[in-house]
Amino acid sequence: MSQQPMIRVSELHFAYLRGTPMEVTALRGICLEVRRGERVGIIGRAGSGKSTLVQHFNGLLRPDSTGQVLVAGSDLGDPATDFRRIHQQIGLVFQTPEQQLFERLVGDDIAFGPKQLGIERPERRERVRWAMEMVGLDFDAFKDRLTLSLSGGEMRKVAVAGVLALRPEVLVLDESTSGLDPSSRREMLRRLDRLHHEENTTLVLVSSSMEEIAEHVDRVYVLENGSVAMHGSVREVFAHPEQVRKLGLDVPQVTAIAHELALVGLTDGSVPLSVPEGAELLLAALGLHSAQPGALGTGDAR
Amino acid sequence: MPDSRAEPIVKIRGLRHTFGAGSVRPVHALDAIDLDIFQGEYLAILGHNGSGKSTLARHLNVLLVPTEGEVYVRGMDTRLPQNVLPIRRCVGMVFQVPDNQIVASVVEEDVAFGAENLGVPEPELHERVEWALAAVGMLTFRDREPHRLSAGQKQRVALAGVMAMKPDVLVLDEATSMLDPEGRSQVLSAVRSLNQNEGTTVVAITHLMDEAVEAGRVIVLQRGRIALEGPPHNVLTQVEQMRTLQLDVPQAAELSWLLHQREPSIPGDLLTVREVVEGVRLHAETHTNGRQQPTT
Repeated sequence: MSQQPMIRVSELHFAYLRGTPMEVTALRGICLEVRRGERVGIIGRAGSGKSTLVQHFNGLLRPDSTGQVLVAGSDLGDPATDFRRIHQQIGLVFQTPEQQLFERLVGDDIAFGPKQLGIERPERRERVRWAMEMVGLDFDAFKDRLTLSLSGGEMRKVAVAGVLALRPEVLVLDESTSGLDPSSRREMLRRLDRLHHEENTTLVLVSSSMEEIAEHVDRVYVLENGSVAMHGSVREVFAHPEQVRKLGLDVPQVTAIAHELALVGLTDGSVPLSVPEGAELLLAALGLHSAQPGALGTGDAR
Repeated sequence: MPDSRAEPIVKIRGLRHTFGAGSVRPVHALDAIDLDIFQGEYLAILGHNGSGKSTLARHLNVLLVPTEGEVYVRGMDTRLPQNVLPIRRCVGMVFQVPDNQIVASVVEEDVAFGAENLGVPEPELHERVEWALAAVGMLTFRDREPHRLSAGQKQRVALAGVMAMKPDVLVLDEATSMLDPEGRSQVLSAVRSLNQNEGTTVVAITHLMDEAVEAGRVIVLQRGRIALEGPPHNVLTQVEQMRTLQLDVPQAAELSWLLHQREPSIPGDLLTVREVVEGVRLHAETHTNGRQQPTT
């Protein structure tokens, strides 16, 4: 497999309404890398630049003269770049994907992207079937349903399936799970994990749920005022709750509990990312269970 | 705690709500709800999508009227047209998406809008706007344009607009679910002080545990019926039952429950980070004497 990063962003600056009195600077020299097959989280308080950043990944926004965005080696600042190919490689799903639906029937909506790519009917149908299966919509039951008759959760699934039908190498989800109820949210995340395992799809998750970030990504970038304020593995970043809180965020409760107990010397400074991990750590700390030293990492490793 | 002898500010008896009644596929959103909400209470209503929680909220300020049964606000029957305006004066509502509730081009004017429409005269109107903006921590933004604020700031402006109307009951319908952690805690602390300092009755519709933990009482809806009811400590720590209702519990409660399964001497009903930290410390002090401490 190629060593070339899937996405490389260097010195990226961006301002909305540049050159007008309304100019707002959104990005101030961002550097970031997403490797092939990786799951990367992008977090930060509202207005920190998360959405502006990810809209650069597929050329929806273009870098100015100083910054550079490379997707699998192609420079998105270069007008000669084949953007059709970029749009196929990088699938973007927004916060209210319901608004991305426009066809009358579910099947047609999901088939729209592949059709634009010039994919012929039999393969298109297969792609729609596969994409619907990946998001948990039964092909026969849903393909002829009216998009407007779906529930909010089902509409999101259709929107995600529409992006998946393009067979993107990278799936970028910009707060696509917020506002869903807990069980629909868990189901969607489980399906994304499966996509990552089975298809080696690269995932970029923008989220305001720290629990979601803790359990579903490998590395995380924390943005603050258009710059990268922290980055590293999720354990490395969540090992510093005070710093994370200063950036307007929080760590998962289970991580906070372990951190507090480490401060009074009860645990070894391990950083649990899920409730079962936390339970193992605390049982070991109480001498109720054989500890596996270093199993969770301390957050300072690497 | 609600006083059972006091007259409730909201009284709901046998409330049913059916969407598309008489159609081929009627949807029974609420089914025989009995509920009293008392003056000064902080009530959280939980339930997964489609459980009926937003439908219930919409009955509190007559956005809906019962298909069957009765809803009374301060003794006023919501079915009578002459009661609609007095009830809306009494019950204020904040919705999920603040952009849809912002009407003016300056923060101050937006906050004044509702109260002005109620006919609040000028010197008092000004005082109320100032008080509401101060309560949500947005006084320094009074001259700003609302559309250039962050989502959390906009939601606080929307909340201030409802507060300036001085409602007796404040209904929050998923009012923090689109906010980041900072915006959420800003809005929640404004609501908490309104409840504690002004005695405003708060009804929070939510699926977020941070919000439910704030409440004095929690009810969980399932298929239009009340499935669980009680103080947060009793309801949110019933991990298995909450799961069958397709709801999350706070991670702290789930951790406490898991630890309790493995070691019954650790309490299984801890709800917050602080409680679990204290619980584990206490357990370590009282139980590990004489037991081998792990040396890792």
